[in-house]
Amino acid sequence: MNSDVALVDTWAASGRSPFHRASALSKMAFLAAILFAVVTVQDPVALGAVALLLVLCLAVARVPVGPALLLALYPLLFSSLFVLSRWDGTWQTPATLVLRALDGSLAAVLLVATTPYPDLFAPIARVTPRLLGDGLFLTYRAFFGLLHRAERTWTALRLRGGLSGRGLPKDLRHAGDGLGQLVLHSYDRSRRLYEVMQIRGHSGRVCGCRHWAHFTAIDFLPLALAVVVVAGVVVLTRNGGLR
Amino acid sequence: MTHLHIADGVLPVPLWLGGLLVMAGLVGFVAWRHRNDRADRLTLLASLAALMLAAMAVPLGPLGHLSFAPVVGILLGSGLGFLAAVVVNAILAFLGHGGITVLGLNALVLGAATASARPFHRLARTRLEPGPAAAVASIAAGLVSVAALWAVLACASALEPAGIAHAATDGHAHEADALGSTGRFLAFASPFWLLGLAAEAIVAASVVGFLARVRPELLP
Repeated sequence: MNSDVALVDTWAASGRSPFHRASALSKMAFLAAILFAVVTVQDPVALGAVALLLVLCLAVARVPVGPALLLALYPLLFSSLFVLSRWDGTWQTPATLVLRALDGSLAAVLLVATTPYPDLFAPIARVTPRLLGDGLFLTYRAFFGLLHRAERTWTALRLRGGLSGRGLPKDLRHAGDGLGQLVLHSYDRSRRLYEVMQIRGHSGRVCGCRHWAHFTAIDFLPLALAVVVVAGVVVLTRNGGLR
Repeated sequence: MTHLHIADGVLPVPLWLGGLLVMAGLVGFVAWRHRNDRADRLTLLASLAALMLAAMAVPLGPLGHLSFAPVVGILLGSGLGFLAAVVVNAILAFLGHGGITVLGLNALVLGAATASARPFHRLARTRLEPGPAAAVASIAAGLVSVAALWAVLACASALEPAGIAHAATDGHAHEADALGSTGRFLAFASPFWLLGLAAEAIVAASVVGFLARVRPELLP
């Protein structure tokens, strides 16, 4: 999971595609349209079409489709128990559940893989309390500060035989020791970050970036796609393809 | 381990909308309670939420990973612990790891563990050393979280008694028995939850025991 976050951040920061140049708000509108389809459309074929549209969008955004698909499929592993429990003997029910999960995940991955995190969290910070909005921004930033340290800790534990990867009690005690050191490191980092914020004149809000609302002609791409998806859902409604 | 991990479009709309509203209400209340906190509480919240994300890289078999929620709850307290759960779930949802629409329910389930851990730890500390007390608090907080998950699934069954219905290709409607499927889900998932509770307890005891030896002032 740790490397996934780093990978997505690299895609978001280094891309120059039309999706990367569109504002965060228009891409969020597209995500909302996809979620609208996901929670309303019952037809697995239509959900499959949405998945194909999202894969096409990923390709247009020049996001590596294979790793992005793997990232989107990863949660399915955890949802598998739920999908199994809901199986009613037909292929449509598991297909619908799997495609809904896939569509939602792909849409989220498309958004974060084409939007640098300050632009992603800035609109959220505008409508949420300071602790949550700034907490999102600082957590994401702190995660990258912690990432290499955590990776080194896990590597050291594995090399010394402390982590067999089988979830044995001995593994967990060793993981706890490693996490204890990471807790200390996190306390020290949070203290340093606070001091840096004080020196830079922290005024009570961390994220003041306005690129997220900088509309250009390229914003018509995600907005047009959102309209197409919503229109498709409306057409399906009339044909009785919804829940 | 007690993450909901249910994707978008699976639970009834009133349920996940209700989850988002309850989460928003709790976030507003916690933000109001902590409105006068110094910014170092914010940086600590961010650092420990980031550590929760990093700890999720520790696998517990093929279908699970550590959540680290009880330890973060013990260190941050109920209010900020709940906010940490919301922040972690929001970042995970943006990565497609748990649905965006079920963010509220995911946050309530994980937040139940972070918010209840410190009160349980305080109670256990009256009789136990910090490490074992953390293990007890971790199990108790995990059970609260699992109870919250059960409540979500019970609500799902109550709100959608007919389960998932759709028109099949042969024109007949097939319906899943939602109550039966919820029972099946609990039966499938319970062994994983029990393993998860035990694993979190061992890790919590190890981390808190370590902190008690080297930096006891960090513990409540």
